[in-house]
Amino acid sequence: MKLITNFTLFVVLIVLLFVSCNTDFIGSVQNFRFQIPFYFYVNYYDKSIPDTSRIFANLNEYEEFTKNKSRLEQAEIVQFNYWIDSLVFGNNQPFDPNKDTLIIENVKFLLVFAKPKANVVNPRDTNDFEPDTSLPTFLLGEFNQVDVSDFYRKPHHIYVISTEISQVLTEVVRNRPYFYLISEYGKVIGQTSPKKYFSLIFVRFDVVIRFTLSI
Amino acid sequence: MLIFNKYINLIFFVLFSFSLWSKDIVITRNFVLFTSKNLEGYLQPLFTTVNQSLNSSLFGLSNLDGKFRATINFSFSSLLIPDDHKWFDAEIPEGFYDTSVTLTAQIRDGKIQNGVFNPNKQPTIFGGSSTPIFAAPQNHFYPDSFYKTIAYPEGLHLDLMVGLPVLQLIVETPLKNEVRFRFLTIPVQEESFVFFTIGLNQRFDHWFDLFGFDRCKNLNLHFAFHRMYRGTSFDLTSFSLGLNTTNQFNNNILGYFGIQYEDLWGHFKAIKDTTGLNQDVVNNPFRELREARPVQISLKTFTKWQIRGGLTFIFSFGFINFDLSYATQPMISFGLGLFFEKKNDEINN
Repeated sequence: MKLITNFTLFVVLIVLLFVSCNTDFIGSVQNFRFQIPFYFYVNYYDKSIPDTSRIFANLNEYEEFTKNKSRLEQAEIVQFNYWIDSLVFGNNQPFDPNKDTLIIENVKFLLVFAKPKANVVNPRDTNDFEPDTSLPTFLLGEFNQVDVSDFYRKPHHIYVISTEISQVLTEVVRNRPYFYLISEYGKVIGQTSPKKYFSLIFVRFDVVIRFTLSI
Repeated sequence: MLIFNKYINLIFFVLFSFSLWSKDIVITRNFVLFTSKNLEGYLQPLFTTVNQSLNSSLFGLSNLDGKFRATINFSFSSLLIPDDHKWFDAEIPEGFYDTSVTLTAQIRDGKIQNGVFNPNKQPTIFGGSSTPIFAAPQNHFYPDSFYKTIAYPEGLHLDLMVGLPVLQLIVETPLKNEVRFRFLTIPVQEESFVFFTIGLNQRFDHWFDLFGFDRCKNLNLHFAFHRMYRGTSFDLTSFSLGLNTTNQFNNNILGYFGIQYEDLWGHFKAIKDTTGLNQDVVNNPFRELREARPVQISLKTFTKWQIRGGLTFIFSFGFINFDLSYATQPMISFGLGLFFEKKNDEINN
């Protein structure tokens, strides 16, 4: 009889273990997470630096986002990279990464949330939005002595978004999935004139966003 | 039932997400989360879990003495997910291997690394976070322009996974065997999902008089066959075949131990909606996704062998049992049984 009592107690413990496991399982299976890259291709013509460039991103233009919006629990920006695809000097000579040296004093990447302009009922494109000054600007990364050769069609400048920033972004992105990626370019090393002109600069941002959907 | 529903939801969400749901599964060609190979690798540990739990509770619940008895048995299990079931070698677009086409980089172990890795470790459904591979095409034209940054789905961050619960009818017959039946059908998005199991546990020691007059020891062969299907798109077959022995220590306690070979196979197939394919190319680094080829995966299990031992405590109304199982996903199981009819007399040692 004692053996049965002990065994029954043991079974109760096992049941409790199972209940806790099941709770974890059921909790885990509430959600499905995946990462998707978003590509932001920006082409500048007759660009001069120092300068600040702004890319508008509206996730509503992406099917992966809009289709799952109703089930969206979280949307976190986890990583992004930045690279220069093409560059042509002011004298129309293309930049050659093996020959030319071009070093920019510093480059800053910032994220600013956008909001529809007050008088726009159905915002569609970048002209219908403006920076939301009620929310903080997030510094994603700042780099000094940026050698353009090292960014020229090279994908290894990957920036990880910190958890603290990511959590703030989650709350905003879910409800207002539009933002600006801002890049601030300093002077070119050795630059004597106030502005240095380029005929063409094509830059690329690949932003990876983690979506959590409820099943 | 909640766990079973969660299971079905999970499997079908992953398999059929973004689908248009019809008798034949048709998926929008913008479904780019998985290639067939990656979906197969992502789900294989889950089907291992399914297979192991399907092939549980197949023996050890009774002393097969030839007396008729019918029992309803419910059991559930929990499986320990080993680390090597948390990742798989994910497919990489072919252009990523050619540095004249595209250059790639990714963060591994906290460091930025150039190029692709072999194996390209990405999480399975039980794993953690995935690793995106950033790519910079070296030219603006085809094929370079296709080979852009890719990312992968993530796992559920699970160390322990609940097995598929078992609800079965066990009928002991005068032939000193017991037959098991499991059956379930539920509607899943306009189509019936059907599951059934037929199992046989046959005592054979008495044919060779292995234990003499000892009626408490059994040596048995067990076999089970399982099928799950939904329309023509999802089909899973599993079986197990094994040898087990039981010893009834007294009227209340029965110990059991067994070894079994098991396997699982099946397929999932979904076709892509190719409307407008020629006008609007899906710009994706994976050729399969660009060309809107069907999603077609083979269902597989890591587990081929399972060794199981446990104890069954028998009461007047039924039994409870507990066992441990050694397999690629070590498992503990707990079961309850309710007798429809009690045997005429009990064992007298």
